[in-house]
Amino acid sequence: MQETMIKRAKELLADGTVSRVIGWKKGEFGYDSTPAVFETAEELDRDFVFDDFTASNVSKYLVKESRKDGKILAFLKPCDTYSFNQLIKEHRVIRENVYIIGIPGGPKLDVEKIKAKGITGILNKKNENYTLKIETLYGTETMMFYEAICGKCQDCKSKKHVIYDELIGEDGDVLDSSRFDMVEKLENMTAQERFDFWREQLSKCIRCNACRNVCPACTCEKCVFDNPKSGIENKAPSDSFEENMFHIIRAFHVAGRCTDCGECSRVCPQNIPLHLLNRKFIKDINELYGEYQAGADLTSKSPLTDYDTNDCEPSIVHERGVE
Amino acid sequence: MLKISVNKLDELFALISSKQTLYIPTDREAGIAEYKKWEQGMKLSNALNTVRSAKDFFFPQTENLVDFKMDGKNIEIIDIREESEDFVIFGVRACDARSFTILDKVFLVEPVDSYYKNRRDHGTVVTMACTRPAETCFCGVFGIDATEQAMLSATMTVKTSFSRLTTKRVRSL
Ligand code: SF4
Ligand code: SF4
Ligand code: SF4
Repeated sequence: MQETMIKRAKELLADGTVSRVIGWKKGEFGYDSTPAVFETAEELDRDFVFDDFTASNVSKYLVKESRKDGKILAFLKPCDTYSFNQLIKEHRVIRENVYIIGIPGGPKLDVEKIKAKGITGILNKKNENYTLKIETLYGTETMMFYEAICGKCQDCKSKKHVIYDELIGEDGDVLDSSRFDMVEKLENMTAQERFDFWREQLSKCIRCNACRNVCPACTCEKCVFDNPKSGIENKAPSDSFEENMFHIIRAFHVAGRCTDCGECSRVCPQNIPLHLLNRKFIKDINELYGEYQAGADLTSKSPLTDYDTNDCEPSIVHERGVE
Repeated sequence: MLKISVNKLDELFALISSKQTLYIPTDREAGIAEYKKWEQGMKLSNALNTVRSAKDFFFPQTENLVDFKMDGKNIEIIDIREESEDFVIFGVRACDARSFTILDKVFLVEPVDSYYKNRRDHGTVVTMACTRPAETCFCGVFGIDATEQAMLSATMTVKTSFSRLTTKRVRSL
């Protein structure tokens, strides 16, 4: 796959269709590839990588990249295309300046899951028949491939590309995923149990802001948390109230726009299941306003910014709020 | 050099905490460690490092500096500083311990940060040597000896742990 992608990228650079390519660049070790922009065939040959660890979503970078001169080639996995579509809808990316090649999705791997097994000094890995042979500073270790699958891929919602100019590989379908199971579990808890669950999770937050910075729905020019005039600006929470509020406010800001791309939970150094907060909003929107998937198309109106006589009444808050 | 066996570590922790508050790195969940006040039964983490560094003990992310009392147009400024209690942090890695000397260069020169100094004066750092550095470790590059850096350092092997006592403060523990 990687070779096919590099070959096609070089062709598009050579015939002038695009002047830059966004994809992933090899890191220092076998697992730390990062999104990167390539301008020449040599750069592509040297650094371009597409493997089990290229889980990151490059769509958000196109907010800036699509405003530069010339066209850019973007390789998007199915989940990344939802984010891109949503960004078009919000007038954050310039569609005409991006040439999209849809590429197959995961399952991708999460190095943190390998480390959680007590495997340290990780240099590289090989996938032999779904057994990972992990080369470390201290010898070779093995673990099952499926045990290292990244959280967002475990709950994959769709293998379908919702926007592209061309595809490499085949297109898939929207999946029947089990992504709301844990949300349902939380809903069935008592208010106290649920509060305790979230306090336990949110108290781990070190306020690195990675979740916000990676989120394709968080592209505000000046985020409320960076704006001294917003009244809620802070760099580090000073008590549990501020700790909770950061996450609650962010979840509200992305409600109806969050595509459930899973990037927030993937980057959290503290393993906080942030996707559960956003999925609760998605599930509620589905139940109260009818099925809606942000980023699935370019024309539907977001239920939260649209009015329809079948919409639920505000009293729903009280009705659902009772234990 | 003094030696104690690893399975006697709990007794050492109990002894230290009978005199001063003791903090050790302990696992919160698989692969994620944090410093916690030692209590009977708490297990020392095997993780190479905690997610939040031990710096928090001396220079927390946020803290109350002063209190104000408003009475009409009068503002009274209340100094809330209290003498810190003596405490021990066990299991700090050499890289983190070295960082304290860098912080000292900022906070302990004139004008001295009395909040920082207060905590620094009352804290004893016991480092733990790294026997299994990660691929991302940088001690070598920065010329840090991964087995030393503090008043007291410990090396842990499978069966025994060694402690080297170097200063009076540590001996008094
Ligand atoms: S909130 Fe999380 S899942 Fe939703 S769009 Fe942002 S990063 Fe993706
Ligand atoms: S948290 Fe809110 S204000 Fe900040 S970037 Fe996200 S949507 Fe914008
Ligand atoms: S990525 Fe995790 S630790 Fe960082 S600010 Fe977000 S929730 Fe907190």
